[in-house]
Amino acid sequence: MKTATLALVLVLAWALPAPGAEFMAFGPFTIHKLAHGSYRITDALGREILLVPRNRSLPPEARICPVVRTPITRVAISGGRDTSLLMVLGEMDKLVAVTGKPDGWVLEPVRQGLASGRIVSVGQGHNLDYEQLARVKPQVFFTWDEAAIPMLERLGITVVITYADTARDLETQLNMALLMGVFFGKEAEARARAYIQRVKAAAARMRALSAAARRRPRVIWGDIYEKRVMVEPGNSWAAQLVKLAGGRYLFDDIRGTS
Amino acid sequence: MGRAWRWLGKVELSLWLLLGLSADLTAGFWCMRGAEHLFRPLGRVGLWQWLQTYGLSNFSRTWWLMLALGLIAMLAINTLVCTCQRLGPWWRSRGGGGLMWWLRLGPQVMHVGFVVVLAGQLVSFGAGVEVSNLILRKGLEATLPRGERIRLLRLEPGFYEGNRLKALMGQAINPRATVEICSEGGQETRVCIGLCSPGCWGPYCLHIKRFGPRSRSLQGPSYVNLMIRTDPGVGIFLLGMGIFWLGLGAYMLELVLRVGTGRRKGQ
Repeated sequence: MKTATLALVLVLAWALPAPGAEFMAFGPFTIHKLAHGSYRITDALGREILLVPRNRSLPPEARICPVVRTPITRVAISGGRDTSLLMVLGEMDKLVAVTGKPDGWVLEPVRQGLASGRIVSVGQGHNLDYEQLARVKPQVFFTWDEAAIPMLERLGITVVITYADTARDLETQLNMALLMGVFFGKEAEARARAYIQRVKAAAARMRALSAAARRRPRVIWGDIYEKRVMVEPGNSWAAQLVKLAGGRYLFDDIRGTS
Repeated sequence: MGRAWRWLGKVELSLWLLLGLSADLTAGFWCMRGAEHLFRPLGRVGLWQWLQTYGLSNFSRTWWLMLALGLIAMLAINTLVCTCQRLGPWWRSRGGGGLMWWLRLGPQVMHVGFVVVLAGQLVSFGAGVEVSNLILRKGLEATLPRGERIRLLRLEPGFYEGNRLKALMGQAINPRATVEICSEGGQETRVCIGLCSPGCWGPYCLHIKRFGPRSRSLQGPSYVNLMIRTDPGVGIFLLGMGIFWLGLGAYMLELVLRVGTGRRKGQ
């Protein structure tokens, strides 16, 4: 019995890999820190992308993965939520293209950039202006639209899909700052980590303050259109914030996408 | 060594392993709740890569799967050792041989079939995904891992046409994609792929992972996101199933013949 148990333990110890380099998984995304400042990230579709510093030679995995040389200097982003993370990272000056109409943006740096021409609008939804994109040549395009990948890859633009089948929870939303930060270099990465710590500390304070609340209002978070109302599901960061603040999220029992 | 060999072949060990596996999988049900994102990549990355990344980095949520793999490995060893132990007495009882003697090998053949099935599953688990995301749009070609060209000819969304299920009205529920694959020799073949009916061409199995547009109200280009697998474990799995059925057939035939002989003796 003892011999067999020892044999089993030895086999398992040999078979299981040694703890590897830093690896984080949040939602469908991952960040895997490799040697020499390189990273392998996974986007919302599970596509792997290698981030390699400019002064480093390409690793063997570069044969099968798209490669982005870091730090990047030109980025395009679809959607205000992820664009706002550039403000946290201090890299708004790297933004060269966004989607959507100029007057639909509320972020002041983006409005100013669109007005001055430093940032261009490349269309919206499924109607991307590929000619504009080819002209501004972003190195990376953070977008929700996987249908755009074949065209953008032909233009030499690496695509990171940010939209998954499951709504982002708070942990995933915070770590998106780190996912974007590793594209911009060590300083942006450090700012992302600091931001995550600040928000987590604020969330802890919120939780403590709301614990004693006597009234817990019912809340929903959504968008109202002409013939439909679209709400965030219970697994979303919006629902989690409501609960942190002491509210009751009305659709807490629903799981799904944003 | 002899004692270890005997212990590894014990039926009691099989029972304890099966009980352990049941308890472990029950624990796994609870560990997986809220952590599904850690296990979904098992369908995309190899088992080894998953263990090194998702597995070890989230040990508190994934330990049960590693234990399950260990228990299944032990079960396979136990089965093989038990089978070998039974072969000795079977061989010594050969006497004049005969059909009944051969049929007594049925349970051992079933055991071997079971282990071969597990081996096939392990091979599929560890390897076989060539491309986890191949996005095709009409008019644009892509390249398969071994150099073949593929393009999307047509995507029929298969919209729900009924009026009984309001949630599905206008939704695509049965998409079918027709792709054309051009081999390096220039031969073109059309392959039809459904959501639950993968297409096969050469060494590849093509699965629809995602597609668009998903409803009549959504605009946008037609596209399909394919997962391409080669799945080397399928052949081994089918071989194991064949061996298992052969053993089962022998076992059942022996049973029938034994009962028949017993009745005749009784008469």
